[in-house]
Amino acid sequence: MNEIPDNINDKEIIKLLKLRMLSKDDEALLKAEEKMAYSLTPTVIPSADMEKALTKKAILKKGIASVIKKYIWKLFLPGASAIVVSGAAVYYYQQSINPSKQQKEGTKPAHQQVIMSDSALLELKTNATNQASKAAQLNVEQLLDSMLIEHADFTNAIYVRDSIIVSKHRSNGTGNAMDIEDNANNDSKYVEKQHNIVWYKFIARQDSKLTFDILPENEQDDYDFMLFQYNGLDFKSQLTSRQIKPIRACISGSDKHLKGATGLTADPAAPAFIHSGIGKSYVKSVAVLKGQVYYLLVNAVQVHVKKGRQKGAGHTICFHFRKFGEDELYVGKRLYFNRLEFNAGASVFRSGSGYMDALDTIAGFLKRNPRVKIEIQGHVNTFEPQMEHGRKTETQILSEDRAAAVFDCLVERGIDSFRMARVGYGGTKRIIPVPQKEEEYRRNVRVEVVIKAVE
Amino acid sequence: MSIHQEHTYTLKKLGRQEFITTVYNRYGKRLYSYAVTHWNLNEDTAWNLIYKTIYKVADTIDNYQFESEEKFASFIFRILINYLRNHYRDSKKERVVEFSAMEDVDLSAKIEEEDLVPENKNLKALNEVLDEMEDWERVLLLMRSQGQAYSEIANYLDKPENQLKVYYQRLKEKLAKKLNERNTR
Repeated sequence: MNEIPDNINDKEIIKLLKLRMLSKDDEALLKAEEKMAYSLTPTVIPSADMEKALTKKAILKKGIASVIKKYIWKLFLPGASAIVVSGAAVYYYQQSINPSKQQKEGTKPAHQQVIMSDSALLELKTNATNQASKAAQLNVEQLLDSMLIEHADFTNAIYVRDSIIVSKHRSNGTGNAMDIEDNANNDSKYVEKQHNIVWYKFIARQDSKLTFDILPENEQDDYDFMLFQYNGLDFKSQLTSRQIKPIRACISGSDKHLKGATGLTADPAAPAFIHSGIGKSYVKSVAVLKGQVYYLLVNAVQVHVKKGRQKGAGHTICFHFRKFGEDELYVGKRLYFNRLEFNAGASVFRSGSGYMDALDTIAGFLKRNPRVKIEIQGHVNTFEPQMEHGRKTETQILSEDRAAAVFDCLVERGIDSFRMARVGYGGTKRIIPVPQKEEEYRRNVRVEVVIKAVE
Repeated sequence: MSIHQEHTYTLKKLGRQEFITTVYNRYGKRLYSYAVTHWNLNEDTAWNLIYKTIYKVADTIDNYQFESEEKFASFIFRILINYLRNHYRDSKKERVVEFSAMEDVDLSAKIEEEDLVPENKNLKALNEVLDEMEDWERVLLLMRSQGQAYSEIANYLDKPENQLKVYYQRLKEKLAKKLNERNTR
């Protein structure tokens, strides 16, 4: 017992575990921590000013609302002006009692953030989708390889092989593994409970806008679905621990007018998520990129009918991959591939490769579309890792330098540097994993320009 | 309707102001103290987090049903944890907690995957080592390292008290050893 190695003490352990709690949803730890937090006897007490601010704000809000009501009814005011005036009053008053001036976020008063909780939610959602779309864009072969291993775990995922498919499957039960646990926290992106699950998986064959319809056989059946993007890492455990969020979900009840159909619609005004209860049946389409893998969970909610429980009579899914138009802009679109060539082993453009035209084209495009932000990616053909002995490898540096060369040329052509990011990927994203011929070799060496945001 | 359901039901029936005051008195005060003492936050930051948490609860309470008071309490706690995460992510540069054993660990690395930086190796190693442990082992480490009595922990984990002491020493050893292994690799 005496030989407890090294300098690890209790304090260190606390830090490590806190780090864990912040970086991962560790249920067991969070529960224990919660118990501890609530059983504390408060030793530090908020100052009276702080407490005042908390309650005053609430009173004020309520008070003004009732005043407005009174006046609107009694004096038939046009309402709008009263609201504007009183709204301004609320704003100034709250600003004067706002306790968090010294905050870093102090530029935005705290109460605004609280009131705009909806927009904060929206932000969370967009963050989630952004993360999903920015997840590693591996190529098809690599993904297939990793899928073969992963597939053993996802025994009930049906592989949808065609880009447009009509597939019929009678869903029955929850399967052996509970990939998605019951929705204890009532997260609006998750099904309330696994009833009758079918997992589908499919690979996008080309950059396109994905929509689909889930059509139940029996019009009264209620179908919910969640769409996940596969990221090639330990997907299953991240799925179970909810680190990977669905990118689309529709949990609402069935709509009689649509004959119980649900799915993704091309309508841009549709929301990305619909929570449980009565609501619309269709959510927004997804921009999918070639090679990305998606998992679709379809859940037939058990319906209580007179003769007991009904499991859903089966359903048909139609996938539609609509190709993007030439001019359509979407996050992840590749703008340029081939003509940017470099001298071997250097970050100098190869003369005669038409690189000037290529750069002009990109610059022109960026000038025409001021809302677009791009990432310039340098790739080289190598098996070296990006880092070795704590230092960047030469090939990694080369890929960064090449991206930087393009970056600099675009800056010279008058593009704002904040619209462009430059990244060297070394040999991590080869188009052809094991090149044999000179030609294949060439294809791996490239600079790509990818749209990162359309604002 | 059980007693617990009744409790949250009556909470919901309160006006916004009473609701906020009640939630603050019942949970907020403790959580404030917790945030200050256990996360080394300064008072303003801690208050800001609690403030946001309570208003978030008030804004979203109508969307939820709670089976019991415990569920409601943990709902509040989770919201606070989320705000804590956001806080650490936002204040990347000012590292509030110093990590001597894991010098270059950046809290934001795992959370903000969109940066396209390779994931922080140390954090990954830590999570992998901890993943290998069982739930109760991690909980034991957490509770004991924060100075809770073995009797309480035994109660919580439903394990014999006298064994826990031995387990704790061993686990510490194991954790340190594995982390050292990973670091030197």
